Amino acid sequence: MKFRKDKDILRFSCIAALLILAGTLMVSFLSGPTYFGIGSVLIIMGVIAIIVAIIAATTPKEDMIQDERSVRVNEKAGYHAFWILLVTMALVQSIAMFGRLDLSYKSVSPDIFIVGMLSFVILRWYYNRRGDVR
Amino acid sequence: MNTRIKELRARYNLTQEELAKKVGVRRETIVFLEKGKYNPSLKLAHDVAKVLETTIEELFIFDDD
Repeated sequence: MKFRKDKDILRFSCIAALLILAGTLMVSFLSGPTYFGIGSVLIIMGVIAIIVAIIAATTPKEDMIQDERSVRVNEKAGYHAFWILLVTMALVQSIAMFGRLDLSYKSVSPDIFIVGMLSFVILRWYYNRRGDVR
Repeated sequence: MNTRIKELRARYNLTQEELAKKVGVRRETIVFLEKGKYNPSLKLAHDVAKVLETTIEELFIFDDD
């Protein structure tokens, strides 16, 4: 596996490392649930950023450029993911209003967020493979 | 849609990678173009035709039905 070491990758990795460091310092030295929460979020964001940096570093630079096809794929996936998100929210709202389940936005909002993110990732993969001929 | 990109690319001894670099797109895009699985924008069609020293009409063949 070949790692690219260009400026963008190094800059992104530094930001990721700083996030983890800031999160660790916050969790270790500041007391209180708020600091613990913020620190944990910073650590999680840093770890995600490290994973993204590793994926980006192992991908050839030519595959990272945004050309018209990748922009079109992103737009299409984003548009459909948005509608999936909207329908999911409408369903949750309907279940909360008419169903017997006790659902509130606050309790299901992380799940809705995951539905939106996953829809986008899956649709992008699908449209990237399928091609685009009308 | 059929294209003559592969044929003309071979004539100029260009790899997919090289053609992609010349027109500023990903290699994947050239792969999809050659398979006829992607409708390019007018600009991309023009750029590819220009690199392969041909016209858009000669490069892309559309089925009437």
